[in-house]
Amino acid sequence: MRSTWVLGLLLTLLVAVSLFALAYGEVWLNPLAAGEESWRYTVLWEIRLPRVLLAVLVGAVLGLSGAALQGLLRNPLADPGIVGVSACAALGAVVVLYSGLAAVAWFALPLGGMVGAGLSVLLVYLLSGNQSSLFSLILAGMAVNAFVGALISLVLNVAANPFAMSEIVYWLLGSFANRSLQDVYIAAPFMLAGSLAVLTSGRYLDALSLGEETATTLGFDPRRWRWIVVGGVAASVGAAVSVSGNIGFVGLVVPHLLRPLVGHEPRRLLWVSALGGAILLVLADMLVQSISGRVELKLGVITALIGGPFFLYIIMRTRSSEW
Amino acid sequence: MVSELRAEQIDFRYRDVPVLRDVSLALARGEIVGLIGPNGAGKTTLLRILSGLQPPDAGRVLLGEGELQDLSTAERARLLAYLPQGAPAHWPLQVERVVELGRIPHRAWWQSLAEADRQAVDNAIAATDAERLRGRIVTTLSGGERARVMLARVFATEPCFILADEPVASLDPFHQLQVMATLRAHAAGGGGVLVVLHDLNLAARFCDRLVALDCGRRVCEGAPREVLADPALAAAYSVRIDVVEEPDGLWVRYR
Repeated sequence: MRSTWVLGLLLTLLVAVSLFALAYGEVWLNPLAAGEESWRYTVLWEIRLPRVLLAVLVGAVLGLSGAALQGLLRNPLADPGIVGVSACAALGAVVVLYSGLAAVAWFALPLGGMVGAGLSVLLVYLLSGNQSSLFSLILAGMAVNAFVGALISLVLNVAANPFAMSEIVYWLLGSFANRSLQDVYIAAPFMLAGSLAVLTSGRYLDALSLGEETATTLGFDPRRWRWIVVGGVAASVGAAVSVSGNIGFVGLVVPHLLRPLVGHEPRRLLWVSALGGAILLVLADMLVQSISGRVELKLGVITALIGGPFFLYIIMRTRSSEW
Repeated sequence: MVSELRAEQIDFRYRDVPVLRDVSLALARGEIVGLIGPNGAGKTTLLRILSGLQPPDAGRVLLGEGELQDLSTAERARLLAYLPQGAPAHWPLQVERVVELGRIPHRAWWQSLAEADRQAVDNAIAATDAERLRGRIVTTLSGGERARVMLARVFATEPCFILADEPVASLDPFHQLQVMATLRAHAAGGGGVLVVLHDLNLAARFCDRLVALDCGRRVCEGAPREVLADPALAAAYSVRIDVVEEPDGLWVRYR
């Protein structure tokens, strides 16, 4: 089977790239033979490992979410950003940062992100209604995005001092720098649970290729499955955004590049996109570290710089094809 | 074994507009029934209600002895296959993959295609004469080829009953005849087919019975010969209908 080969290849690549990322840095370290009790051990386990782990997890979540939402909306331009999940998660985290709650408890920041993402789902649900068509889902996502963008600006606008403001702005840019294993432990369960929910929807997404009516008569309850997908995306992306800030366009670019490799099948695209997203972010994070000078470039800035033009390119291509 | 699909006294309103009023219809195994009537008569709505896509406001749909709504969605999907108008395909999938989607109701999510599934897919592709389309990409097919692939997807489910909404719309005469003959064969094989048709000649030629709707009401029902000659049908269509009996069958002229 071709898609099994693709999966195996991507998995091997991910392992190789991750080991390389652990070894790579100011000094080269052998991740498979770092003696305990040495500074090498500390650097490897407390600085590089959390960073690589987060890149793998967040990349997988974003790639998977993008693939799932594109299947659900049957639109190659969909992305966690579209339904407003990323922005709402960012708002939740920003509120926590601004109010100083982040310093009160270690779990406040991720909690804020997930509450925000949960609220976005609720909002989109209320705006698009119970019997919502997928178009009203997209429109509701746009409305949520615009409103939440204004709320984030409001928080920045009334920020008490420039330090609070710059902290928030830097956080919004998106990065894996200076994260600890504890950050990984807090966010990982929600990312995994959400991703598992999304992964169960593969067959529904396949059936949905023939339209919602056909999928329904093939034995799926569309309302139930829509909320499994959107809920899973909210939990996983909410947790991801709360540890990493906003890292855009991964969910758009990765499924788009990998889709032809799995014959455009939505179900097969899910796993492949998760692996692809993880590989992309590990590589991008290494790129960010290698080109940074005195001021470290933020990963979210780089992904947006590459993703934005790519988005335009896809729009121009899809306009001329049958979509 | 489920012997018939039956709608009893269906009422349905869209917002405040009545779409179906007191419509009853029965579809037995082994027969092909044509659903005819002018645009907006409620044909598609009736088909959607029979397929379980839309619950009626009043009345009930029976599948065999039990009510359709009491069946699990998977069981319903194994017994009834619905072919929507225009049958969209959203991704450039390989034709064989599209036909395999018809096997979804027969396997749990962790199961891959078994031997029986492969056999059903092969049979469906053979029945619809889609063998040479197997490796093609569905979004690159012509209208006639695509209609056959979508029909193959329906056959792959091996359902008792097929509900097809204008399966020959926008097809050339050859493909119209081909699709109708395929549906006819399904009925001959013991399945039941309910098909929405606009072409009265096809209805006369391929259907065992016709049911005519107008403004949400059933205006007449019976053998094609009687229904097509019924003045109520001509009134519903606002045309004059002449039925001509030729040695090779029934022909319909309208003006």
